[in-house]
Amino acid sequence: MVEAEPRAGPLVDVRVVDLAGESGVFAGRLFAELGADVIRVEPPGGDRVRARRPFIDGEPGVERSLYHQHFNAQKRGITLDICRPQGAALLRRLVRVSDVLVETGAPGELAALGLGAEALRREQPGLIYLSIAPFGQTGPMAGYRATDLIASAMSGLMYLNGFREDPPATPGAEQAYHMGALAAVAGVLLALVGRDRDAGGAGRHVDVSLQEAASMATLQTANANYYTWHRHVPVRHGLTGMAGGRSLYQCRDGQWVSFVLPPPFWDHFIAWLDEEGIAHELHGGEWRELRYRTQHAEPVSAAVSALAARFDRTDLFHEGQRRRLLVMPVNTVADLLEDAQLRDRQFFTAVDHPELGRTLVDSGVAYRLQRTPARLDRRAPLLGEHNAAVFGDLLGIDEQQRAELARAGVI
Amino acid sequence: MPNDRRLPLEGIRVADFFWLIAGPAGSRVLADFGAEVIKIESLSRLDRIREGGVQPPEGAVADSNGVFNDCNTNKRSITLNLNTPRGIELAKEIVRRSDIVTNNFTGDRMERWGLGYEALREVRPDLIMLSLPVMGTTGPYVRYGAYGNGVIAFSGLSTNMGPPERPPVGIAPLYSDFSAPLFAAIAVLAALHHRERTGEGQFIDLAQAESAMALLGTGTLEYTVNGTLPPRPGNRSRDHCPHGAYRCAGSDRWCAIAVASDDEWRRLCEAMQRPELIADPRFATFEARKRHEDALDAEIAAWTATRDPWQVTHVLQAAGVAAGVVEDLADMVVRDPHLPGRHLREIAREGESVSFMTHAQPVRLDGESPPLRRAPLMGEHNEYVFRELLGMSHEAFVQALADGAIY
Repeated sequence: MVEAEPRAGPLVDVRVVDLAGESGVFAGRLFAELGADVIRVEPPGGDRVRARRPFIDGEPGVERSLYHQHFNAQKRGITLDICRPQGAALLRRLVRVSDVLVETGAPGELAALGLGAEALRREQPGLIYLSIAPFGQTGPMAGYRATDLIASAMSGLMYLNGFREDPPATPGAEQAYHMGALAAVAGVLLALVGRDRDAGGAGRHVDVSLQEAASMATLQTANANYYTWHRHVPVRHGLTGMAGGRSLYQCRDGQWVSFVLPPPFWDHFIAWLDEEGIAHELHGGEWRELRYRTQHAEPVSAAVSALAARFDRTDLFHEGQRRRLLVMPVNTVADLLEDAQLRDRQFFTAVDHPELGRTLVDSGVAYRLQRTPARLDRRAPLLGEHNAAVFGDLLGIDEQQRAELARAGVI
Repeated sequence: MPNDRRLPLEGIRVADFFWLIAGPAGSRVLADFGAEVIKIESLSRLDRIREGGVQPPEGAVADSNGVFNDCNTNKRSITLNLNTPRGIELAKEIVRRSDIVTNNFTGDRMERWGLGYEALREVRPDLIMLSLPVMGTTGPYVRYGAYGNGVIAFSGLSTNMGPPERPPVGIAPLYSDFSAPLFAAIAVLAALHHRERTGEGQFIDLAQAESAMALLGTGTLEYTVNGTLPPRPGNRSRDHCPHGAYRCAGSDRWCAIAVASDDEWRRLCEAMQRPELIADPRFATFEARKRHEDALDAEIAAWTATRDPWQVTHVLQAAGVAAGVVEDLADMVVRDPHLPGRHLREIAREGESVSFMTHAQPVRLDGESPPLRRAPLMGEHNEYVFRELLGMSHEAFVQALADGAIY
């Protein structure tokens, strides 16, 4: 397809004011990838996101946090002290020319500054006001605090992971924060499409609970009906996986694979065992039944183990998939950077950061919208980098006024 | 704000070829918020998630898997045999009346039916079509398949968690089956916004595996910039201390505690009635606490060991410390102060004693959670879709049934 003009993302007409802390900083990144003008608002000294480890070469510094580089990529950035009346007034002016506001304060915190959903929607009726809180905006725990660890724990996302004799293991890389941001962005886009399609063009207040968002995975896998129907409470199983088999198998090179036998292709597995000359007792017709295999899992697991021990991980992966068996390698990031599929699809993106003298190679965007591609081609903003563009060009505050605001510590 | 507004997707129709879990959980988001989602199924290729899984104590009845009923609320279901020419014709008639087409088949399944994007945009020029295979619609692994556990293994999400001396078993729930559908909903909704503005539809390629890699946080940069793989930290953190799950009274009961600042540490000591720990130089600063983390964890575990995890949670939260029960399913369904009342919903099926427990969406719009209608029985809406929507005559409908096209 020939395109007449450079292709912009689907949210190219949307402006987002991003006040989020760590728990919601991924939401703004998702909007920015999709083409929105995301303006990150930080206090004059920089926010906690810039203090998060890891740092480049392990050396702290306001521009050196990889957490900031990752989660704020593609955004613009301004400094503004919204706790002071002058700062709050400027934020209200910014909201008047914006579509979405993202906040992660404790419920009521921004309202106390005159920046709550009701107040701002009176000024900008089209505003979609996104609040991400650990337990949502209402209910007896609305005021409770949570980091990602606490939200993972209270969403059930932790209890099932790991080995019975160990403490439950929290998922890596803050998955409760990620799930919260995904649900939140979906919620904002629902409100945006609703605004497009409604004659009134009014916005909405989007209320997201991290606990509820992260619990989606558990409440379907450890389905609530296990308890309501059977009083069954699933526990963590270590190496025991689906249908009584093992979750992982170790290959000849010591690496691990996930190996699932999909019901339609049992014969492919038996043929493979026979070709390899692996002795087994799985020829009988009863083994074709998933229910029987679940009840007699050990001989199946033993046969898979014997097979895995003959191959290096990569060979087992490709040969298994060629035979329609669901074999997947347990990869590290180093493995992924070398992976043939991801290279073919140019999944990883490289963004220059001239001030740091680095090129930042990161995981790319999740989706490929053919006509309006999401992008990741701009480094995270330096502290206050876009003050002149936003306060000056966008809000019409001249240089002298900006200098006064800076002297007063507002920007 | 008025709450009599219509749901945001009312008037949007989805021809939904999703099956199993990772797809349907995504089209459920669209259905719950007002879209008319027509689940296109067939006895010739049964959605296996209708069977097995978790079944009521009185035994399986039709389509009684709790997981299926959770992923498919508010949808309609038709049976359409896509291995017949008439079935393909009827599928295109549905697409003609739809805004969105979704599928999560591996490889070129839709193209081989003649239902690829290029064919369907001839029927519906402003169509938005999403494909959600495990590895995407291009590349050397285009035919590779996996369930959620395999996607997690592939994506790198298993090697950045857990204790380093253990095999990398990763996240036990089929995590990517619930993250991928949110990415799918986001992509479709963003494309819908673009269509509302410009009238243009488009094709969306979404690899479940790539969407899971978009959840690696700083893991990729840490390796490409610093040359080190993200650590397997167990439950510890580089930014918080203490940070972990502490054993409580009872069998396999735990409470998670996370402390971000010296101030929170002081409040934790006071809540544990151990004020002498505040002055203890081993724990006075973040760096000191990290150096003595084993001793620190032992002090906290000694306090939690004799206490109920919910009591620990409420006491610490009252003191301003982030803490929470490591909830098991009974906590989530019964004991949690929010989830049972705020988030879980019981859905009855008329004429049956069985009722299903499902969850609401984690998103409220102006304080409202959309109403949930039970998942459809197989082919329940054949009459509505073929007769009313497509306008088929009674004779043509009966003929399509007799020909095995509606099957």
